Amino acid sequence: MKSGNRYSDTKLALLLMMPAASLVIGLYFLPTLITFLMSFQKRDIGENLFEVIMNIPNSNLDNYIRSFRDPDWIASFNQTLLLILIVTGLGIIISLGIAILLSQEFKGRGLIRALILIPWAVPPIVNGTTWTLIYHPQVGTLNALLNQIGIIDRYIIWFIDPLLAIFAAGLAITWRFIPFMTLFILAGLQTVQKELYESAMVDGANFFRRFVHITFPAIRPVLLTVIFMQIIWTTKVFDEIWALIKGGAAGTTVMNLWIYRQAFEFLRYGYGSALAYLLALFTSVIVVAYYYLVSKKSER
Amino acid sequence: MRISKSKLNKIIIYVAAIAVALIIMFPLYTLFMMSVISRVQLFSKPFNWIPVTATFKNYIEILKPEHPVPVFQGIINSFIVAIWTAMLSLLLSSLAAYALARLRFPYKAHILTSLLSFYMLPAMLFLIPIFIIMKYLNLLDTYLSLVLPYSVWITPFATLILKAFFESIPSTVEEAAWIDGCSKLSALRRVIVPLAIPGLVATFIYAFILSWNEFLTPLIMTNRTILITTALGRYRSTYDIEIGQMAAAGVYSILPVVILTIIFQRYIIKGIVEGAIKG
Repeated sequence: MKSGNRYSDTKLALLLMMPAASLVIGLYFLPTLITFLMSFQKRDIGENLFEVIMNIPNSNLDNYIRSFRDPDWIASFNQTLLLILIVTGLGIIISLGIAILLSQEFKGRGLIRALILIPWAVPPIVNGTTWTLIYHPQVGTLNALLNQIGIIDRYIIWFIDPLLAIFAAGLAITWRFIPFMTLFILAGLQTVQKELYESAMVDGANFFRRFVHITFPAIRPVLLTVIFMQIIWTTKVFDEIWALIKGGAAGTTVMNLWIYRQAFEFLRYGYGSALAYLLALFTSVIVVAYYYLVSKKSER
Repeated sequence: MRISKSKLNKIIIYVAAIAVALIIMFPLYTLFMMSVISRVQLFSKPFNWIPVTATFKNYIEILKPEHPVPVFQGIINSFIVAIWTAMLSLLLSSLAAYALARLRFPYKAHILTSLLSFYMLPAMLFLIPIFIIMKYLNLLDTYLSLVLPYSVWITPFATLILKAFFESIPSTVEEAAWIDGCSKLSALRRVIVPLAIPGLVATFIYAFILSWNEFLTPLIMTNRTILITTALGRYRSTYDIEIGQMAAAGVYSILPVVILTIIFQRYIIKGIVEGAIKG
């Protein structure tokens, strides 16, 4: 009886998942496989798929070897690492602050909570465009603000220096990531037991002591997850970089954008595919490291 | 002494709250203000932060057919594509999510794990061949060349959110329906779907927003069929741009999704947190 029930469960499950599965297999797993095949073929091959299939015997590692000698690719790798550092660092500090604020009770908390959700909804390309207005060398509001409070005495061209450019882009991206990080950390904060704080207050522990000894240990796993998600998403960022530093000097872009340019501007599908797989490899290393860290933690 | 300490706490909290509001509002305010102020005020120094002569002429100007960037057509196209995508991914994900939430079958954990790979891997991995296929089939510049790739990565998100939603409906409800003689499929249709309507609506909105915001896919797949996001991108690559007009187009593109987000904030917060917790 029970096994019969289970069998029909499996059949029904297959039936229900079939439509979604065929879409995902046909337009995700299959293309991903084709990209893999293309990554071992001539740089500019891939005008049609038959050509790619016929050319399989001519596969080699040229694209991958070439990538290590491609200075722009190396530079975009470094820029991506830098961007990860900036976005994660800034994001954690800002979001942790906001999350702690939102875990207090005060009038207007609902308003702030609704407000911090907005960046999530803003289209990333519009976010990028908006920050071009903020960073604009003649009319930018950042220049105006810093000038009026007396930090700078003349307007600055932010995107002339690659380091400043990536920092500026990182700030824009961080702004869009605030909602997710804050809500996630806030969810973690709400699991911390209230009694712990109360007894700490009775013992006279101040805010910082409470944070270091109660809050931080309790939300450490959540922070780890947030940092992990942050790193993954930063490797996938495209729109803000496109809007802010697309036309910039070589070496200011990130990996994702460089792959796009190789594949769709220079029409080197094979080389672009190889680079896409290298980025995927980078992502996989982070994923594995994360799971290793998490499983090590839970063993203790 | 005690009172002053709690007062100090209050002051700190409100200063922090105002700072947070300013951080969030600063970009939005910049965009809005630049869309309504005159060129004279835009270039005035020191900069005046309050719009002196607010005008909405940019908003009207950019919708006209002779405007070099087809913003109006972009808004229409974005709506059509987002609605098709939301309907398709809602249909596919609700079926799959029900199976994952309620039925017992082998390899379920593997399927869930593979859904997560969509969060992780770069979109370029599948966009390059999809572009080649679409080009081969002469489908570039069609709605289909956008709706299909969008649905591919929105469906897994939607499935995870809906699965959590289905799981929150007590299973005793449908067991009662089975006992009354409903088959599993008709129990799904008659009992679960009505109960799940809020979750389905929220997922639809979620998918709509993700689709509306997408830029990379249309950048690759379309050229003549312009969306609101690629219209914005076109302002960026045009040299002689009017900042006010670009800002107005930005406000148009933000408005629908921000309004939807505020209306559905409870569900969206749930979706963001629950969808990601599985990550």
